[in-house]
Amino acid sequence: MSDADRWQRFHPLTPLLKGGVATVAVIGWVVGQQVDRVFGAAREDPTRGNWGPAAALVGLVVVVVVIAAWATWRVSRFRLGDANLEVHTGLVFRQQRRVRYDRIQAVDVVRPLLARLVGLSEVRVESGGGSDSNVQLAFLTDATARGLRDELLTLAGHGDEAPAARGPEDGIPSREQAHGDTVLRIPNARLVQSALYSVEAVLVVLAVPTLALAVLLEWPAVLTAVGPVTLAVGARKVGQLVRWFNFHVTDSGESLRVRHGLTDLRTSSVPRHRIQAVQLTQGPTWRLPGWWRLDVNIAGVGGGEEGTATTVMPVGTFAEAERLLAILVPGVDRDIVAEAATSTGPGPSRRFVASPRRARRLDPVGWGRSGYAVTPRAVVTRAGAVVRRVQVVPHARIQSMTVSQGPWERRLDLAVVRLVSTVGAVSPLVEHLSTGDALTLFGEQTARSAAARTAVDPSEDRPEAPPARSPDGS
Amino acid sequence: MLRQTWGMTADTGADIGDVGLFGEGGARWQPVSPRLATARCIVLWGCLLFVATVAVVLAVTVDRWWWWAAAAGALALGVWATWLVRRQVAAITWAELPEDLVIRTGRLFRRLVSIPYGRLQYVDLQSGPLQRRLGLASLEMHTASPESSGVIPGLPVRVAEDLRERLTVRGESQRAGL
Repeated sequence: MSDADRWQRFHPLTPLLKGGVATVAVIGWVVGQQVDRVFGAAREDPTRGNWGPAAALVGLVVVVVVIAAWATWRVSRFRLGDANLEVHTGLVFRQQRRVRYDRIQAVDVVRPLLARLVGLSEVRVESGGGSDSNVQLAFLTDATARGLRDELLTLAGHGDEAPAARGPEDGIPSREQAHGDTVLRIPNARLVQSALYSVEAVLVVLAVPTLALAVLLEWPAVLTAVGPVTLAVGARKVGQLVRWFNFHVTDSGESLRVRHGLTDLRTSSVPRHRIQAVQLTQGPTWRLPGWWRLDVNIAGVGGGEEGTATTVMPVGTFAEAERLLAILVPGVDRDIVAEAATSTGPGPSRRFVASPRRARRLDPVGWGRSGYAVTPRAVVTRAGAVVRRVQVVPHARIQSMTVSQGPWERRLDLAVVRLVSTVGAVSPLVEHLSTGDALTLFGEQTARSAAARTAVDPSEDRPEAPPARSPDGS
Repeated sequence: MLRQTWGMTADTGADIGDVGLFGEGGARWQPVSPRLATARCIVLWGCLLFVATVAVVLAVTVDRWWWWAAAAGALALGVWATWLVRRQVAAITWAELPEDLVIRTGRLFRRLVSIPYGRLQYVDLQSGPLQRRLGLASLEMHTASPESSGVIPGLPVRVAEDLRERLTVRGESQRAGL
């Protein structure tokens, strides 16, 4: 196959959809004018009888816009090269972008509302290095988009991990795994309920009678002070709800696929071998129903748009969290994680190393929860009495470690240990350990992480690195 | 103190378990050059002497007693800061362990950072004009997380270059990526 015929164009409706909002507005305006005319409410003719020139001008603008859009569409194209995804866009400001397959971190299929109506999708390719390095392939038919996503994931996978390094389930080619088992499906009723069980909901509930009263008693000051805030808080919560609607997670072997959204259907994939740390959180209002939220750090995917790519469970029971956790961090000790959710001090199994009692001077409420436990695969940290938090960091994924101690901590002989992960929603740390315990963790964890790093086949992470180690290490 | 061998480092004697937050421990701690204190003091005194000179000039021309107080204050601040800088520089030490580079900093706010060689993405060698005059350079270690960067300021240029070389070699041989 020659190079030329591997170039692909986007769907011809692309320019129309990209100018989607503008198109809808213009059509709406024209329709509105016609309706006015039909019902006889039209004001005087704005062209003052000069119908011909006005029509010609409008026609000219339309023709120019259409030609420009068509030309832009003609020059925009992409192809899957030997080692890169290549994308050319722009008519006047031309841009050529290449993304190496082995730098691809995640591939999402996004379907904005208008595109969804005509059965089109956008493929979003995220590579390491912030939002500038992302590539949007818009728009393609749904089937093409899904195929392209699978193909890119396969190419990225081949570039990134030797096929032999994977588990025994490898017989199945990845494209057939693409539509895997549903691991988690969150009922919409629960999403609504969880939105009600929040501080924002309480505020809105308190604010509504106040506003009603203000209207009745004619207090404009109260209305202007409370009204916009209530509206903003409410709208934000509703926006979140709309985004998380129809949330479900499927397991396709190499990655988890997260789909959600009421108006904009979003599909993001979470490559399993890039997961760096996992965090479970539970606010005070979720204590009663026993709900948790699950966030992950993924290498190369920073905290971009508000938790979209990194929240794998917006609200779920502990059992559901455990199920996801078993996939995200295989072989994690479930008992310890369950214990970390609620225990204080050394915990029922006495495997937790917790803050000493003197730490209550620095953290009078949460000191008893602060602590960590070591499992064969990962460190499990525990914190927070009001907002409970559990973090799981695989030994092999710790980037570096820091022990720090300020003057107040030194007087109490306490120290903080940070298990530095990549950028993301989770920043693992254990606060207020006794200095001795902190140094034990620091020292032992260094050795554990080193052992775990060498145990992991280097080819799984980075094939270009030679697996051979020089014997003397220098 | 806490000697834990995990089979990885048994042959080399030094182990990170020996690393104390403060004090000697078993690792071979290396100080940074005391000339770093000189460099920092030159900058410090440059600023303070300028302030003091302005204050003295004003005291003579405007003849208000508080300008003399301001000049004296600037000098006193300089003396205290000099003492502080010397203590801070003396507190910066680093050690090369079999698997990690460890850096200790601070007296009041103490910090102990360990960066595994295999996690290093790249190493920066930096040297400003003043540092260059004094034969010093700073070495900055970067991993995949911006949070975990470690800096060793004020190494003699030769030591910094050698260390960078060793770090690069070890980084290659122990590479773990993400």
